[in-house]
Amino acid sequence: MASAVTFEKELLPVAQGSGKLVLDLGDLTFIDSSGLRALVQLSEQMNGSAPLVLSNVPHGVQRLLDIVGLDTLPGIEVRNDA
Amino acid sequence: MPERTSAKVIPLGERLRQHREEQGLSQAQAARELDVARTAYRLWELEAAKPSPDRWRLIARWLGVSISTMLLGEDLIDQEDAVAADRIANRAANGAEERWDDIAASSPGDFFEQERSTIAHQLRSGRITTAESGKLTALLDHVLEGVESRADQPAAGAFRKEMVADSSAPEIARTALVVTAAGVNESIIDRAELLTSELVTDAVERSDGSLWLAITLHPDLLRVEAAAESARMEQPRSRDQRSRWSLTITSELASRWGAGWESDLYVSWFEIDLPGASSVWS
Repeated sequence: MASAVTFEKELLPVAQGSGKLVLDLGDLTFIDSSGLRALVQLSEQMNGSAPLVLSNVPHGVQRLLDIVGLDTLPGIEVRNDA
Repeated sequence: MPERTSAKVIPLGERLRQHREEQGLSQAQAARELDVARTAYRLWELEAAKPSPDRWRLIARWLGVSISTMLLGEDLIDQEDAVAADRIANRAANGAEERWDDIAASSPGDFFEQERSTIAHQLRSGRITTAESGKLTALLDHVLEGVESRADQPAAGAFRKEMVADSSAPEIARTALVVTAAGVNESIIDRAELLTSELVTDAVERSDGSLWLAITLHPDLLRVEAAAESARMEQPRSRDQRSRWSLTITSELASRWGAGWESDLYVSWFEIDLPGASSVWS
């Protein structure tokens, strides 16, 4: 919850007016619904200019994305290169 | 059990955290370097679980301290014994080609068997005296006794706390969960951490001030309960996408869950069935 607030504060300005944004989640060890909401808000901030790309999504995080169907939302793209 | 001890006794958990931060590592990265599960490593830093003796050599090397220093931080030997053991080992190593720990690590058996055979080897080689051999053997017996008495202690299985309902509460609750459920299978801890975060986030959003958290570890069940003091018998203000996801996650991952009003408290809980027994050692 606290980390999600920090994340929003740091990244929302970056997303505004930017092109493609890729988040490498390789070192992400925990995320909950507050963190997912922060990701969606980030993608919404990009205003459909380009998708928010989530890369190197760890297995546990991918499971959570599957449960809530986050990767089916428009504006979010999951790319696992590993 | 070689080398030098420092004057100040630093608990192992604190020493691990300090070293990890000095190296700029996350807990997950430190766990990888020590070839241990992330949850187990976290518990070591929190002093909620103890590394088993077969990990001691690797941890001491990673920290750059002697095993005596590490065991001093684990409260398994006292400062005087640690200094004496290091002095004997240092003298034995003086002029020898191999370090005490290298000889021990290449010996068969568990940590204690390795140390015993190294003591015997050093005695045969004339690098330590009979008196020193006796001192080290007695010390080793003392450490083994300490380890065995710890293994007999039941794991702490309950946590009760009134907390401030702010944005830091979910993370505090997750830490409490990890400590209380120490020894439980890591994949179950991961599930329970997520569910606890969802439960407490919801409680924070509903609360007018305080919330109470209760975590109980039974042999076959982990139960977490949050109670939020709230005058509003209504949905929280932000019954939004996050809250709907939270509900979906809870339905998917909890064995059982529930929520409802008890007077002016909104009480929510979940349970996860545990497939096996827990252990203090990791």
